[in-house]
Amino acid sequence: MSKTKPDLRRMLLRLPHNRQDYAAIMVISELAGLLGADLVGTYVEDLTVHELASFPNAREFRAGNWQPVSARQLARDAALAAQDAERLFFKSAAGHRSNPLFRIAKTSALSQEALADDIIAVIDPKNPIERATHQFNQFVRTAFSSDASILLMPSRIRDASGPIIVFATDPNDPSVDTALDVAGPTGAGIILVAPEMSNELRKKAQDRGVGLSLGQAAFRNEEILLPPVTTGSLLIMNRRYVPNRPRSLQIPTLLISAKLRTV
Amino acid sequence: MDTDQHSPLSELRSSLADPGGGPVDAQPSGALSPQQLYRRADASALNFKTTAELAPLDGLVGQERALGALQFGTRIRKSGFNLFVIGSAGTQMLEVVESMLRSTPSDRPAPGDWVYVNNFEEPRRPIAIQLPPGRSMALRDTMKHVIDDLKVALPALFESEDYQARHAAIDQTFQAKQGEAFSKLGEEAASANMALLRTPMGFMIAPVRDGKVVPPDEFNAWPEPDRKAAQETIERLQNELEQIVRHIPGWEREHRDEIQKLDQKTALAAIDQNMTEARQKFSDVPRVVEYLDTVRGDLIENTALFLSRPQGELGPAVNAALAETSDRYLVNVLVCHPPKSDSAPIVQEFHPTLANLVGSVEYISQNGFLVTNFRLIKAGAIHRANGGFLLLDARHLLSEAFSWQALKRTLRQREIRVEDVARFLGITSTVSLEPDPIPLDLKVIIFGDRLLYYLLSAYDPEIAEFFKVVADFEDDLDRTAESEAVHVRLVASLLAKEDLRPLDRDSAALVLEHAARLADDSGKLTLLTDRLKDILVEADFWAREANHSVITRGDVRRALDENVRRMSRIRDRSREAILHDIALIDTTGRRAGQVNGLSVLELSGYRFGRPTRITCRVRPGSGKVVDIEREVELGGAIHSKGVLILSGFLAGRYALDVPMSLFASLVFEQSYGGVEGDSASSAELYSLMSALSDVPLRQDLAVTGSVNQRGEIQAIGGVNEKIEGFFDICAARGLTATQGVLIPKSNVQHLMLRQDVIDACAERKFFIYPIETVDEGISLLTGCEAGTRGPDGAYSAETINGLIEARLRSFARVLEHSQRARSHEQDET
Repeated sequence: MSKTKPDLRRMLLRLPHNRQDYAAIMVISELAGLLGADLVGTYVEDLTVHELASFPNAREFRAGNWQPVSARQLARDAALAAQDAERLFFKSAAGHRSNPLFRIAKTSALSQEALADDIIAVIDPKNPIERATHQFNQFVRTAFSSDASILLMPSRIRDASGPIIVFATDPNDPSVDTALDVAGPTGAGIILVAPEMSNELRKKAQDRGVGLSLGQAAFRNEEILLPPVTTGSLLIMNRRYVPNRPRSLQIPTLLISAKLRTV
Repeated sequence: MDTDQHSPLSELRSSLADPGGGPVDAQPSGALSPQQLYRRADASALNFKTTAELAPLDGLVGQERALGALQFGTRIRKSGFNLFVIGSAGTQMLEVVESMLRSTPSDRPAPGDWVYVNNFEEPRRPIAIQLPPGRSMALRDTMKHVIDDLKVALPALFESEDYQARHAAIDQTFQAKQGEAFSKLGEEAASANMALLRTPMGFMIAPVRDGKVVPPDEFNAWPEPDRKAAQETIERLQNELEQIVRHIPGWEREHRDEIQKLDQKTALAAIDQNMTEARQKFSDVPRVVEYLDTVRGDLIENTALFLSRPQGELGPAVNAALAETSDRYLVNVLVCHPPKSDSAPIVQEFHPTLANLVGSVEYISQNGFLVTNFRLIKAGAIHRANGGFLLLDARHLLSEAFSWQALKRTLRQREIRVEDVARFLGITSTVSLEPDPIPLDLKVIIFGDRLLYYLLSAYDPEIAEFFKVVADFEDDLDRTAESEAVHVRLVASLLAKEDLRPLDRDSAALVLEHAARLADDSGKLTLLTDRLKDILVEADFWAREANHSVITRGDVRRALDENVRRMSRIRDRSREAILHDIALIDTTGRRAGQVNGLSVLELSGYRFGRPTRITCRVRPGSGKVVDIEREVELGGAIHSKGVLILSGFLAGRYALDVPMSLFASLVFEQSYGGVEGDSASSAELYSLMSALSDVPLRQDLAVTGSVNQRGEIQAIGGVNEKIEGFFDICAARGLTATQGVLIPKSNVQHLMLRQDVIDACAERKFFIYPIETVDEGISLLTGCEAGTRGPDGAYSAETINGLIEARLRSFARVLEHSQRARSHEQDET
C-alpha cells in the first residue's frame, strides 16, 4: 500500500528559558499530534556556560542586576531550571496526542541530530535579550543548516483559528499533504497559493472533507513575499522558498524539508 | 353561735326549702313579652321582589367617619400623614379602601420609572436614575442593543486588516527598537570577540573565538594586557546591556500607550455610532445623557473587554467572567410603570418581609464566593408604590423582623434605602452594595384591628409621628327602616360580587335579622360583611341544591342551621354531660347557696352558652370572700375584680356598726378551665346572699349580669347565647313553665333570640326577666322580699337583707367571743 503523505517522525523542541514562551508549546503539541509526530522537549544544559564562572570577576545579569556567579550556583540553577522546564513542558503539552517526551541534552547539538523527517520547532522568544543570545542564534543557524522541517513559532500568537495557508508551486509538494493532515481533523479550510490546482488534489481534499481554495501570492527573487498581516492559523511552505530565517512572522509557519517527499 | 337556728325565721327558710325538688309556682310577672325578644325586619321598607332589582352599594355603608378620614388622609400631601385604618376583622376594610383609591381620580402626578446603573467610579454605590413612565424598558433595551452591537462590531474592527496592520506596525517598531538595541550590542560584542550567553537563570558576556566560548584556562593563559582589555570590553558591554534593559520598561510603556491609542481610536468609531443613537433617544432626560457619556468614556477605556477570547482550560471560565464584566453596561430596571399612565400606583404587599418591603441585594455564588453587583438589586413594595399608595396589613408587618423599623426609617428619611438583612444579623461579611437612595413620595395605608393599633400607640410613640390619620371602621350601624333598606343593598352588592342568586324579600328580611344578631344588638346591623357573605354563599348553595332560582328564607335558615350544626359538636357534648348528670345542673327545685350561672364559649367564631353551677359556703372569719377560681389561678383578672366587688357590696350594705366577720368561698363547680369576665358576678352575689340568709334559690332560673358595689345589675355580652344555652337544657328535660333567665335590663335591647325560645316564651313555658338591681333578682330567685331599711335603720327580720344582716352580726359575735377566749388563755399562760 502506497503512502500518500509525508511521514514526519518527531517534533524536536528546544525548551525555552522564559515561562512566557511556553504558551507556544500548546500549539506545537497540537500540531505534533495532528501530524502523528512525537513531541520531544529538550532542555539544553550548556556545559560551557558552567565554565564561565571560572572567569575572573564573572558576573551574571539576573533580576535586572549584575551579580557575582559561581560554578556551584550555576550547576544548582541548571538543575532547578531543568526541573521547571520539565514541569512546564508537560503541563503545556498535555491534552494532545503528541506523546510528549522530555530529555536533557548536555550539548547544544539538538539540531544536529535532526533528520529530514523531523521537525525542529523554533520558538521566537518574547524577551528580546533571549533573541540576542549566542545560544539561540546558534540554534536557529543550525536548524536552518539541517535537513529537517522547521516550525517557526512567533513570539505573539494572535489567533489560533482560521484557514491553513499553503504555498506550493508544485501540486505534489509535501506541504500540501501536510496541510491536509492538519486540516482534516480540525475542520480548517486550506488556501492553496499555487499556480494551479490539480484534479487529483481537489479529489484528495474532497475525500478528507477539507475545503480547498486557490489563492495568489507575490514572489520576489523567487521568494514568497509575505503580506504584513497574514490571517490564518498556520502557514505551510517548502523550505526552498525560505532559505533563511524570516525576520517577522504573525502566525506559526511550518517549513517543510526540501528533502521530504510524498511517497 | 348561730342564733338564727332558734329564731322564728327558720320557719320561713323551712317553708321555702324544697327537698323534693318539685315545681314551684310560676312568677311570670315582669317577664319580657315575645315581641321584646326579637326585632323583626321592617318589611314595609323592603320594596322589592328580589335583591336583583336593587342598585348595588360599596362597602362604605355607615362608614362616614372612616370615609372622611380616608378622603383627608389620601389627599393631604404632607409628611407623616399616612393612614392607619382600624376596624374589626371582616369589615373588608382593605377591599373598600383599595376600591375607593382606584375609583377616585388621583391628584398625584404619575410617578416615573427607576433604574439602577453601574457606578463606574465607585461600583459599590450603584446610581439610581429616574425616567419618565415607561422609558426604563427602552433604556434597558437600548443599552443591551448597544452592548450586543459592540460585542460584534468591536472584535470585527479589531480583526480587520487595517487594525492588524497598524498593530503589527507598532509591534514591529517596538520590537525593532529593542532588537536594534540588542543587535547593536551583539554586533559590538561580536566585533570585540564577545558573546551574550544564556545562563540557567540569567545572562553573561564572555569572550568567543571561532564561534565558541573561550575556555577559562585559555583565557587565563592570555597575556595580561589582552586579558585586561577583554575584561574592560566585558565591563563596557555589561554596562550597555544594563542600560538597554533599563530602557525596556519605558519602551514597553510607550508600546502599550501606542496600542491603547490605536485601540481607542479604532473603538471610538463603533462606540460613538452606537452611543450617539442612544443619546438622541434620551436627549430629553439629562440624567440619562450624563450616564451615557460616562458609559462612552468607560467603553473607550475598556475596549479590551470585548476582544479577549482566552483559549485552553480556563477559557470558558474567563470568557464567562468577561461576559459578566461587559454586563456592567446593562441597566437594572427597578420600577417600570405603564407609559402614559395617569394614575398613582396602588400596591398591596401580602408578605412584607424586609426584602419585600424595601428591596434587597441578592448574591450569586461564583467559585464558592458570594458576589453581587448592581444588577442584583431587587425592588421592594415601597419602590413599586412610590408616588402612590402602599397597602399593608399591620399584623403581617409587625410579625416580620425588621420590617416595621425599616418602614419607619424610610418614612423618616423620606428616601428608600435598600437594606441587607444578612448584614443586620451579621451572618455575612461579604462585600455588599450601597445603592443610591431613591426619594420617597409615598402614602402608606396600614390595616389592622383596634387592639393592635392602640397597643402600638401605647408602646411605640413614633406611630403618631408617621400615621397621623386614623380611619376607624364601624362594626355596625343603627337599625332603622332606612338603614335596613341600605343594608339590603349592601347585601345585594355582595351577592352580585360573588355571583350568587338574589334574595327574595322574605329571605332578605331574615338576613337583616341575622345581621342584627351578629351585631349582638337588635338595634344594630353588622357591617362585618365577611360573615354575612359566608352565610349568603352557603344559602346560595342550598338554593341551588333545591333548584331555587332565588334564595328563599328557607335557604337562608338552612344555611344558618347547617352552619351551627357543623360547629356545634362541643356544644352538644357539653349539653349531653349536663343531661346525663355528669355536669350537675338543677333546673327545678330550690337550693341554698347555689345558683345557675351562665357562660359563653367562643370557638373559632362560633359562640354558645352553657349553665354553670355556682355555689357558696359561709362561716365566721376575717371578712374575706374567697374566690376559689382565683386561688387556684383559674380566674382571670376581671373575674377576680367582680368577686372583690361583692365584698364591697356586703361591706357597704350590711352591719355597718360591726366588723365584717365573714369567711365565704365561691366556686364555679366542675369548671376546669379558666374563668374570665364579670358577667357571673350577680349570680355569685345571689349565691352568697342565699348562703348568708340560708334562704334557698330557685334552680329553674339561671342568672347572668355583672353587679357593682351599689347592687346595680350591669349589661353583659353574649346574652342571646346564654339564654339559649339554658333554654336548651330545660327544653331537653321538659319545660316546666316556671323556668327562665334573669338578664340585666340593659341587655334587653340586645335580644335577638332563636325562634324556638321565642315560641316557648309566647306559650308561657319559659321566661326572660329583665333585672335592674340585686334586690329585684334575689326576690325573684327566693320568692322573698329583699327588704329595705326601716326608719330605725334596720332591715325587717323577715326579709332577705334582714336575714343576711342578722347572720353577719352573729358571725361578728362568734368571732368576738373567740378572740376574747384566746386572749384569756394567753393571759393565764
